[in-house]
Amino acid sequence: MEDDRRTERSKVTIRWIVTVVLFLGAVYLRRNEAIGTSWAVIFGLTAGVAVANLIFTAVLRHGAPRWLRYLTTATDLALTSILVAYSGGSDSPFYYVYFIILVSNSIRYGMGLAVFVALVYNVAYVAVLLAHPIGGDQTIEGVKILTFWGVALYAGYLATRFHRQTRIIEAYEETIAGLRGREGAGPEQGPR
Amino acid sequence: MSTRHLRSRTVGWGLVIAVVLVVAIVLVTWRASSPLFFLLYPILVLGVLALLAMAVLWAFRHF
Repeated sequence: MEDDRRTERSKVTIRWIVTVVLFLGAVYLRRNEAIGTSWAVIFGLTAGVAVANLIFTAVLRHGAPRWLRYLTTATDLALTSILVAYSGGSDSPFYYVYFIILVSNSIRYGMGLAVFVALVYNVAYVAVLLAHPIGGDQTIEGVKILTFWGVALYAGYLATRFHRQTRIIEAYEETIAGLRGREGAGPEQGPR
Repeated sequence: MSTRHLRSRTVGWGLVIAVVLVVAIVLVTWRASSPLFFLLYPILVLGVLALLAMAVLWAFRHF
């Protein structure tokens, strides 16, 4: 529970940083007419992320319920999909943001969240493609979605392995501390 | 001696289904006429993974 709270708090901090970077990037690209996103969408999305982040911060004051990790991740993916849809769809320069969300969540929570991110991304990106149709051959888009699945499963596998090794090391440390404690207490008297 | 909960025939059928799912993934990617077909990926990808995991665990005598 406390671990979840710390993790979600760090996600809130990272979300502020990524939001500022994305906002500056979107403003720069819009001013150079590299993207056709309207100013209303840029400011609206930035305000949306800020409001969501403030709500998450308020929820985290009372603890970190298990569903919060899924809610924050789904919100991140939904807002990213809106940004991608309004900045060129499959050609959007913000497509890489999906990978930031994927890696950040799978490293923190392991395979479960990696599969969840891939699932939500899959549905959201199909919605983006429907809103911004490319027409003709769809193979490249299919390969992009499959690549995302591959990265998600591999990242989830590595994170799960890392978490298992961390738990093993913690168990060793506890055993060593227990043995030292018994050693410090002096020799035990056996039965006569 | 460990007890085997899965018969080799079941695992064999699982592998056959996994191959069919892989072929389906290739066909969907190659021939999809609408992005809606990509909504099949979660079922196909997770299906292949689950069946392969079952076969590998069976081979290592977990079942």
